[in-house]
Amino acid sequence: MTAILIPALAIGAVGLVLGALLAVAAKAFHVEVDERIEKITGCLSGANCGGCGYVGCSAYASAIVNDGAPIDKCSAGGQAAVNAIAEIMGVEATAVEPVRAVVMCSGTHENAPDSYDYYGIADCLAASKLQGGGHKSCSYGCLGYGKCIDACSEGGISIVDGVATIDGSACIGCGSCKNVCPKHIIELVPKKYKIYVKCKSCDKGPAMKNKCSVGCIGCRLCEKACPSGAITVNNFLASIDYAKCTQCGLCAEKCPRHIIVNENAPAAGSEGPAEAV
Amino acid sequence: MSGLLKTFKNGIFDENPTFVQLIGMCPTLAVTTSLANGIGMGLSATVVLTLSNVVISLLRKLIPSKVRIAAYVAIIATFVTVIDLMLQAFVPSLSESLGIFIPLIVVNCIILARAEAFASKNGVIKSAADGLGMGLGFTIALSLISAIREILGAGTILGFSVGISTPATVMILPPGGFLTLGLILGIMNVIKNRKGGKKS
Repeated sequence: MTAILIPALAIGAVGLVLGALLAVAAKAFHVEVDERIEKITGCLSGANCGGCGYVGCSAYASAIVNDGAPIDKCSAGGQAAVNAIAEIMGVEATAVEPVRAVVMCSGTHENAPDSYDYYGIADCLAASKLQGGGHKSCSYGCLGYGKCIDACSEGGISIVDGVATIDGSACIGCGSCKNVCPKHIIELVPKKYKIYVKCKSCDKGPAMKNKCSVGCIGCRLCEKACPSGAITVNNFLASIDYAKCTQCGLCAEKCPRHIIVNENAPAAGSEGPAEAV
Repeated sequence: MSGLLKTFKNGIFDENPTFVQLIGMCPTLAVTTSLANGIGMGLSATVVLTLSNVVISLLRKLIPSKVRIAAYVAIIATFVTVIDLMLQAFVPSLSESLGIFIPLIVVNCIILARAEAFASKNGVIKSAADGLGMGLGFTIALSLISAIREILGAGTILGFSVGISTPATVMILPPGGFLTLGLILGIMNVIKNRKGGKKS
């Protein structure tokens, strides 16, 4: 009995004295912690996606309180998070435009065949370092090894026919996929706009025709068709300025390559309305 | 008195925890990215080491040998927590850059090793001298490594520029820690071998 009792008492006594010492130290070296940091962390999405540009939700929360960071960076939390943070910080809430990520490439196996067989590591970054920026005929296109799939915290990305496809309903707009894509073909688009130029190729028209059967050739038909001047062609690639776009869909109708996709149109996808007429 | 001095010098030279005993490698490699971090870490460990050595030496006859490790860990953890709270209160910038490595002093093998190997067998004053010596040995070693790494890797010393236009960033990354430590140990061995050669 004493064999257990004495050590237990000894440890207990040591613990008691040390505990008292710690209590004194905690009082003497007390540091005020701003309660708002904790509260704001609670309002954020908690996905720790890094879309705001900070290490995680709590790092962003402390940046808001200590460094005056803008309060509308949490795309995953959306308007609700901004409103809650605005209330805690006592500032006016700003309107947030929810965004979603879109893969701007239509180079499926059929449209843009491989120019050689790749047997390396199944990783976009590794493949993109090779001759011609990867095995795909188009050096701008999606390599289809799913770097973005690993980055997505919501599991909303899949590879369909060799091209990454993002489920718009699952997307929280954090931009993690955009940041890891070695081809830089993923873009964040305001959710309410459903028209995309699904190509990132800056190749000239004839060269593009040899590589991909749907890629943008820079013909400028869309630019001429657009009544609001929202679409411009630079470097043989069309791009839409969503601040001006009215979603009339004329560009998608005019595009001879059907690379401008209008998801508002009944028959969305490569089989555009222009062909049906 | 000469015995005390010998105990004190033992930690700095003959049995330097970093360069001779090669223990406590985790903080040695991780926090020595700048001289300020190295000194901060070294001094924090010195304070903990000295205080825990004194207390353990005081209690060495009271603590039953079967539960001594548990008691030592409790004592060391207490002092580490106190130091951690103190750093947070008075030098928050250092506390932030050392981060998790301050709480990790609890499991730093230098401290537990000195408690077990020295303080539990020696008197209070001798144990204090040993803790101070070992701690300063650790601090000097960390300062040397971190000064080399900061000069070469960031081109600064304690934050002041030393005029290197393109610092080798690798030196403040993990490989730089291993390179610096390895080269210092190599140079020390060369010197030691030369001295030994002359004697024989």
